[in-house]
Amino acid sequence: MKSRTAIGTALVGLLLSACSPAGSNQGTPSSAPVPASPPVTTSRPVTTDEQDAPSGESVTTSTTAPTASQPVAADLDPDELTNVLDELDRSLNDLHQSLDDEEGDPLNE
Amino acid sequence: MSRTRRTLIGLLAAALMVGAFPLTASAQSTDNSTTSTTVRVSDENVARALEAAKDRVRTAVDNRLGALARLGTRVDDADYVSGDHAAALHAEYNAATAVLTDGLDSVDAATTFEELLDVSPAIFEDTLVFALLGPKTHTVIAADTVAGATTRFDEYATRLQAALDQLSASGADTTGAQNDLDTATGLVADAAAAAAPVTDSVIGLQPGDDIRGPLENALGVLGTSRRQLDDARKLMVGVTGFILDNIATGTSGA
Repeated sequence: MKSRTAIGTALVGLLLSACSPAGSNQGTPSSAPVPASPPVTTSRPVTTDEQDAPSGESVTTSTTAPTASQPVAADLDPDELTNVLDELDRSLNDLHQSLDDEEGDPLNE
Repeated sequence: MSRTRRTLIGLLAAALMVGAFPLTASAQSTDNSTTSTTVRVSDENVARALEAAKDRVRTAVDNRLGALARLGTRVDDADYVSGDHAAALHAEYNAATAVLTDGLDSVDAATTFEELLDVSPAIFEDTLVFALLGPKTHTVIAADTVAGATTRFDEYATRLQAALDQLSASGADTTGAQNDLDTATGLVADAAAAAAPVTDSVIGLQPGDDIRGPLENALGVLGTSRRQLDDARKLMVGVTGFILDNIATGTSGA
């Protein structure tokens, strides 16, 4: 019984830590797609309350780690490239126009 | 004779002809010569024509002062102009504004066409607001924007590379996407290299220099850089789609 409690505690701890990756995925929707990842396998020392568990017991969960790919997906928005090109287009249009303006100025230089 | 002087003389002659029209018509009835040199113009018409010519010069100066103010605002509002370049351009605007403002005083003080012709051409030839400062400003903004854009593109490419590496490590075939990304980064590098010397080629241009050639050359170079960046953008959009599709499906192949 103590062993099941200890394993349950460990699972809760792992889930909490997996859901809080140092704030690196803040703003990422919880439903954001993630690539297939291998299950997370973690080993930790056994406490005095877990004497029944075998020493060095591995706790394996099927929790998918979201830290690696979710931030990548959130950072990939090609609109930022379009925006900077729009700014470049504006300046090039201004340049083209200014060269034409000089030609059409009634009191040109 | 400079274009400005020729233009001003033409304007002054036109003002004289308009002001002296009744006398000109009378002269034509007895003498077919219609040249301005044969027209007798009253002092009142001369004064009116001179004032009209001065108004024309004042309007031209005001147009340039307004244009300088707009150029300053455009530089301040631009996202990617470097501090040094902005300072250099503003210094030129200030100098041109001083020449134009002082010129207005000389125009107001002119009492004859000769005096007006003595001061007016220099006002415009020493500033070249439309012929030089305008195109120079927009060239610098565009060149600095290319530099800023290439930085943005490189940053984005770094993120794409990290994502591709991640997919590749998980077993995905990223060969095609990697080739596209490599091509895109090459285009970005080419665009940056071509645009890098543009600002230096124009920012030092002064009245009296050959200005049209360098400005038009800059426009051509920057236009090519723009097309290269757009081609890179299209490739990066494709690579982005590849990555997001693979993340969404969790599959391991292209």
